[in-house]
Amino acid sequence: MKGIIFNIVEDVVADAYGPAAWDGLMAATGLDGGYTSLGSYPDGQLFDIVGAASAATGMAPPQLLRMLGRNAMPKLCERYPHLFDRAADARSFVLGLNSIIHPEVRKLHAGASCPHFQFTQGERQLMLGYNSPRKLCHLAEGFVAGLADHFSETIAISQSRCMRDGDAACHIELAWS
Amino acid sequence: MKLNTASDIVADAEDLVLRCERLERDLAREKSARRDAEKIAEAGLRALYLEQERLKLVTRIASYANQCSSPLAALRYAVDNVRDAFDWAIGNALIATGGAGTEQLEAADIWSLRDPEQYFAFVEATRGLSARPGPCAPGRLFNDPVPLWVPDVFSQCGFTRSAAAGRCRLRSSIAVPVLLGRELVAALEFYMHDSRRPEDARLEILLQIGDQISRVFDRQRNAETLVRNATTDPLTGLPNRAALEHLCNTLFPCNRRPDDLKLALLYMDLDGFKLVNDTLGHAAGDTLLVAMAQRLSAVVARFAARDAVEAIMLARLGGDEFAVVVKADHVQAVAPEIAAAIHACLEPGYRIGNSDVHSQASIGIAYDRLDYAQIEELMRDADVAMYRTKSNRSKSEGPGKTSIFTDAMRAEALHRLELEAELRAAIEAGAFELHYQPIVSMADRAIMGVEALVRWRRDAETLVMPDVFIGLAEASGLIVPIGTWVLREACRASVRLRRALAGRAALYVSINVAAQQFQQPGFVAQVRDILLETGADPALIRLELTETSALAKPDYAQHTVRTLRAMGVRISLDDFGTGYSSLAYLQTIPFDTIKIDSCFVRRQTERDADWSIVSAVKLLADSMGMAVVVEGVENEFQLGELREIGCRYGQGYLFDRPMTEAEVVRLFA
Repeated sequence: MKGIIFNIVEDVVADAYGPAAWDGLMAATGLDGGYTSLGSYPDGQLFDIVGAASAATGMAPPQLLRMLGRNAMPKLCERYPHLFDRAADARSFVLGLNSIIHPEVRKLHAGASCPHFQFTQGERQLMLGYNSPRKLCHLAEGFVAGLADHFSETIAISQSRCMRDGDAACHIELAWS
Repeated sequence: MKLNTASDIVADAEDLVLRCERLERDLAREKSARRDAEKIAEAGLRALYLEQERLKLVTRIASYANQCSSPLAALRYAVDNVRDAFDWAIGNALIATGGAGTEQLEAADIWSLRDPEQYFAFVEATRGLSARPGPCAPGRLFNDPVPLWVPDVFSQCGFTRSAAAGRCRLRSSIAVPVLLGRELVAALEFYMHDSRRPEDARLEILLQIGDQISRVFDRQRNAETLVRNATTDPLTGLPNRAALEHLCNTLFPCNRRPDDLKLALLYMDLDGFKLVNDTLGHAAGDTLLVAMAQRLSAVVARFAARDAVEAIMLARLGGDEFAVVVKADHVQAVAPEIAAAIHACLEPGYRIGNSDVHSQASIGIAYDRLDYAQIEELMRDADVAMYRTKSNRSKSEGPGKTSIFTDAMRAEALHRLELEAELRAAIEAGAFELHYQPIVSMADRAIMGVEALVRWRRDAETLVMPDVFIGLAEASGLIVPIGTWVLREACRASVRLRRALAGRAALYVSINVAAQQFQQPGFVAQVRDILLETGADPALIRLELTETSALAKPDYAQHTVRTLRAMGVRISLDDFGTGYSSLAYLQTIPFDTIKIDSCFVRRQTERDADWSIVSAVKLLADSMGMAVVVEGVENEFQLGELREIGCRYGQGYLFDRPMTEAEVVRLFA
């Protein structure tokens, strides 16, 4: 997992729970917590942090990840505005994930393993097929919610299938009203 | 032991607060410095990545150019790779022609397009382009041989493609010179939608690429000098085009009196040559050419021995084209004899490897006339006559044919050019309409589906039938955009029919796909896109392919048909029995339906009927699990017999003629 994710999570946590919260999480997990955006860190550390945050806040991990994802969007936009300029709306941004966004990520982080999404389009719907051993589907849901905020759209987000329930892949359903 | 007084404690606390504030400021500064460092690192990584990609691009092109002997191939490779690497909209190549004072850049018909359909108008506008030296790119490269970036193409004085560029929403362009020493030999042109100035590094790379390509030109020029001095075709040993032209010039009488008109030119084109190349490979094609050249030489030698023949020569013009020039008394009697002898000598087959190959010739003859001022006119008219013979051949014809040039043919050739231009305009305007002919279940005449048939809407009163323009479309490649239009429109119609007939019937729409269209590399993706775009249900779409589609590249055909069927679309084999009828591919390509051509039905009458072929095809289809649709059912007698044989589905005037979409819906009212 690239350091930028940890940086963003730290910012979101600080915004939501105050300046001492991150330090508290580091103490709880025993991690030393020095994350530079370009570095690579074990995935397990992120899960540890989420676990500790869940214990501290009483929020279940899925809900927590959704919150993190949603609040992460404005920060990603601030940091990488050129990735957001290209898309006219949430749908085009999402459809550009495989062909525009993730290749940009790989330009900076040569070995980054970004998940590949399968798209199934309807007139006012979009289904993202997500299949990654990290099983961060709830974070993805949060990101989409953040996109909806950014583009001022109303998107209903649900999962019809989930790897955490034993399915082969997660099907994240987006519905525009 | 020092005791802390209350004021000491307060002072300590104040110290701590100050320390905290200081630490927070230090922390903020560190964070900020770290952010800056990360930004710098990210910028560096991105720049490195771009640099590596550019290097790979130049290396790839240099590598290809090094082992490439054809400048056109090198240009094509470069145009493709550069356009793709920088994600530009359009790339094309031009070749410099003409000598000092008349130099110009001519479009070389080498294209790379991000989206073929969107940029059709610009491609067509560039097709006949000749760019003279001048202020407008690419002609500007003659005087200014550096990569030229034009931020706004419309502001150029003398830009003849403004309208097309506007339609395609192009904004800026880059023209790249290919220089041999100081001479401009070719150019690359790229067009894009935005006006961002390219970095100098990028222009530098384009110049390097131009340099690599120029080396291929250099090599070819050296080779050409050698060839030009030779007058023999290396493959067959026959005189080449240069030798023919030389002899013709010598034989062309300067005194133009009726008695002096003893010259005839026979141009011939071999049929089936392309098929041999495609199916057996180029080595086999070469073997065939050599064998044919030997037979032709024997014929020509026989005529050379005649007293009446003053001069006669056989030459290979290139590809599968040959020519015979003959000067003789009563040449208008001799030339047809020569043509007949050629047809006879080419009639027996050839054994190439393990295959038996047959090939005939299409011959055009032109006689010298008083009103010819130059030998080139005679050559041009022989070519026109040959083309006439070629295009008159139907699929099921026998031995080769000969045509003798008449003025009507030239008029026809001009007419053909005009028709082609009109057709291109029609494609741009989408001036076509679809009519639909029902395909019925012959037991109860229930309509199962409709075949979409294209018509060209030339003007408000004129609807042109396909037999007028399809042949021309296939010869010029325009069948591909027409076919795409038909595919899209038929899918849209399918959706409308589904809605209009909901609950009453579920008709399928059967769409003809030309072999050229089928063989386009992006065909499957295009079908998928059109289905998505129009919302058509693949289960209600049938694609009709001809045998030619399957034959040229059977593996590709098999893979493509499988992929299409996996999408839910069904595939029919059209005009079965009328083409090359090689049955081997039926084993490997999973067609759903065979359409029996109308020629097997139309000629059957009560007094004189032979259904053996139809029966055989029906048996074949049954054993392979394919459905059968019989085309051209015209009367009750035919219907009865076909039902006896067991054929279930039919199409033809007995049931319904082709009709508009509205009329189809009315049938169910």
